[in-house]
Amino acid sequence: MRAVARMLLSSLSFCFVLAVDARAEQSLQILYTLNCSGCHGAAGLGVPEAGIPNLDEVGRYVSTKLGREYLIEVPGLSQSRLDDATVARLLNWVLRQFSARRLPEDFKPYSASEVARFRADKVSDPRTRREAILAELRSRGRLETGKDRAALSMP
Amino acid sequence: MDDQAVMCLLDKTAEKASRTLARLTSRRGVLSALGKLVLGRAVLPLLPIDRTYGRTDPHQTDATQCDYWKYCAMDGQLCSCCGGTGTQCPPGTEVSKVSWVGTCLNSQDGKSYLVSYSDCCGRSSCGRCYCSANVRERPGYDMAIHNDVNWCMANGNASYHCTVSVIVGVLE
Repeated sequence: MRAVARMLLSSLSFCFVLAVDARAEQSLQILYTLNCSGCHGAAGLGVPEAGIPNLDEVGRYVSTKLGREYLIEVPGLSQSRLDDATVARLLNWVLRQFSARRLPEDFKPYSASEVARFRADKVSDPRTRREAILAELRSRGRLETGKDRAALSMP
Repeated sequence: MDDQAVMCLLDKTAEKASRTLARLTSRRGVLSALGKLVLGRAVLPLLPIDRTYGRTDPHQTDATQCDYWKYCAMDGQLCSCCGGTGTQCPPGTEVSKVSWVGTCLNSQDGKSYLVSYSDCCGRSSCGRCYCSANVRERPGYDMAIHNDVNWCMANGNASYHCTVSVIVGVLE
């Protein structure tokens, strides 16, 4: 009888562990909805005319060193309450979800340690930094000249 | 007591125990018990049980009251009170282009939902049914999760009229 009880008990606790695992693993879609979608929108379209970029464009940034760092340094990510590993997972997801066609072929996903490093650098003048990145992209032919500035802006 | 006697005693005890176990239980019995458990586990959540266990305030089910569960981070005037509905802006206003997304627990089904609070813009304030609830919200020094903001700021006409709340997801 005791053996039966033990078996029942172990199968019960197995079910319990499964349930806890499922709950702990919040999907990235939910993280995006909760932390980003308020401004960037469910489809990542943003409000370019109000300075909220369309996420369709962000993939361009990762092809330069400064641009890759900049995506972490923008206030929305660097000052968020998410930990480094989660920021890395979320940004990788956003890039693939909304900007896959802009990503360079040799794109290497962000890592938690990379996020920790860039996050420490608080950009005092994001606008100038962004202009420098866009100028570099333009000179490399990765950005059409005359491309609407608002579409690429990051507050 | 020598070694042999000890081994003999162990043998006898083990034999007795396993015979008792075999007599009291059946393999099919175990299978059927396990089957019932698996089935029970699947069916149990479907039963119409009151999952609030008496903890719910009756108002949490009343959408005209500020403590309605979906308003857990509502900071504004209810559009349902201002010529619109809980999820639709009143005529003559347009929905804000940015919004605040929070999480509210519906104690009736025990699930947490992602709720997006959008403002309706373009007319002066409605002035009725103001609610201020702040689950998951923080003061202005934590801008990313601050809800005391005019979400009409990204619209052409930024005057605030009222607030709607839309369920945009569910936490499993």
